[in-house]
Amino acid sequence: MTRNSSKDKSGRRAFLRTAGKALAGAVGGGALLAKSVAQDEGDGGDAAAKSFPTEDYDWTEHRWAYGIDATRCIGCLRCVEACKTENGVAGDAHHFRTWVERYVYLEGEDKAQVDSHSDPQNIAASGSESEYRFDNRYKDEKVTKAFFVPKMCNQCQHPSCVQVCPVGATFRTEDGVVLVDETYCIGCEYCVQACPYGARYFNEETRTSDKCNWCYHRITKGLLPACVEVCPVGARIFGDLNEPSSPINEFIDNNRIHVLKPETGNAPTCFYVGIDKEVS
Amino acid sequence: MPAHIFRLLLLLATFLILAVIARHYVLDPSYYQFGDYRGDAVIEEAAGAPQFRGPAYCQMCHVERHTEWSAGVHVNVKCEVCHGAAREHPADGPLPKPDDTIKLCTACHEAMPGRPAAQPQIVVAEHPVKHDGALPCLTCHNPHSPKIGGQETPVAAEAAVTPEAAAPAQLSPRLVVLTAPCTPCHGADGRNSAMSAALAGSESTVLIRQLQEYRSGALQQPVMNAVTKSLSDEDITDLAEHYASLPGGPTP
Repeated sequence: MTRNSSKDKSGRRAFLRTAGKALAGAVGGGALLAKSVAQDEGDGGDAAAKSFPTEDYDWTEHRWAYGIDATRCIGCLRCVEACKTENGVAGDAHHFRTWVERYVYLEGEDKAQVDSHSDPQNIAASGSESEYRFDNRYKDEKVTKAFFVPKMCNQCQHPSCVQVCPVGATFRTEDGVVLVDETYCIGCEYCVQACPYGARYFNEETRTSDKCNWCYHRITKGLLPACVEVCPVGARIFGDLNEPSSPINEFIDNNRIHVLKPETGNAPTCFYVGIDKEVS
Repeated sequence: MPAHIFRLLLLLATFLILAVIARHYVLDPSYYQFGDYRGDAVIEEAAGAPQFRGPAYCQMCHVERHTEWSAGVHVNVKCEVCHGAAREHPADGPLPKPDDTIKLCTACHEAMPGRPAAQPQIVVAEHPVKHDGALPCLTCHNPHSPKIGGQETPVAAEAAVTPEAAAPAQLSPRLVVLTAPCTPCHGADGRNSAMSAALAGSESTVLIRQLQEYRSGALQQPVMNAVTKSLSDEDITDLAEHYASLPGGPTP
């Protein structure tokens, strides 16, 4: 018994000693970790002191927003075509960063007929999948109300896609654009499912998730996004909220604006005018 | 101390050390620079080259067309909406003139439920001129300034000029000498596009710029570099204005 108990004691002492050393080791390791994090942040601090992400463009000075005036849209789909050209999006009808929906209320019906360029009848009217056109299918029908609604990534302030990304491959920039990091994206498509607006698609070529980025390579050079550049009727408005005289501020100040699906809490920065209750 | 406890702690310590080392090598240095993402990804996104260059880029050469277009009702329909993205034009070749103008014009102007009333629209079957797919819109409408009857001018006059009306017979002696090296390839009427670019009806500002670039070597084409080498600025201007004054279009 005595031998046993003394053995127990020595065991306890030894355990405490070892545990003490292990704790010290862990604290040391933690300190190492903290040090490497601090180093990373130190690097970041140096970079932030310069203009970022380019020499001529400082993202802390801008806060971009987008306006869509559905009362002006004529459904010509030049924006869809231009977006594909500008961003190298696959030239078929089923992969796209922006699209236009047509809402048509026929006489006696209280629910709208909705179609977009990827509808088979519209593809047939276009002649090929790389051309975009709405078929004039309602010309002989009794239409009570009809309108076009351009759609795209809403560049949310609280984006669901960023929330669900397991690898930090999608994020919101300082100037208010949600980007996709192609080299970190593993193509799991959680974000495609999480987006309440259906704005993301899977890029078969890069095997990554893809979506509108407001032509980040253009806006950082002082240009407009390609869709805004080519819109012939001014249905697409873009500008900097930090600049009082920008077109987007004029648009927001002079209109009653809506966002799509406000109940999700995503807080989009795409603002709509002239859409109906059924548009979401 | 019991061996199994020691082994467990050793394992934990090893794992911790390996994790710290792996983190150092695997993690991109710009990760956590601004948040839980790679800061360099923003630089990469911002680095792309714009494909659409905007009307100001086109204006650098196409001064006359730009002036005509910017005064007309199509001023919001920018060059690249119909001609496509400029990209590196002119270095990588000419931009297309739309071939099916009926299809292109009706993309915006076909009467369709949903289009706002302010948008000028036609019911294609009821249009005054029954084109039946044969008469393109450009027969009567100048795309750069399409209204008929207003201050905008129809384009028909240009197409109506017959090649006989601009026969190269009345060339000044100076132009005879200047055009001599051009004729074998481009034709006396400047329309031969089989083995070279058609010159007739081009804008003089474009031709001037191209000739200057052939002369300086900025544009590389052995024959053109050779024949432009000895041209003066005045020669280039005269040649450009001569070919610009000839009626364009395909060889009849």
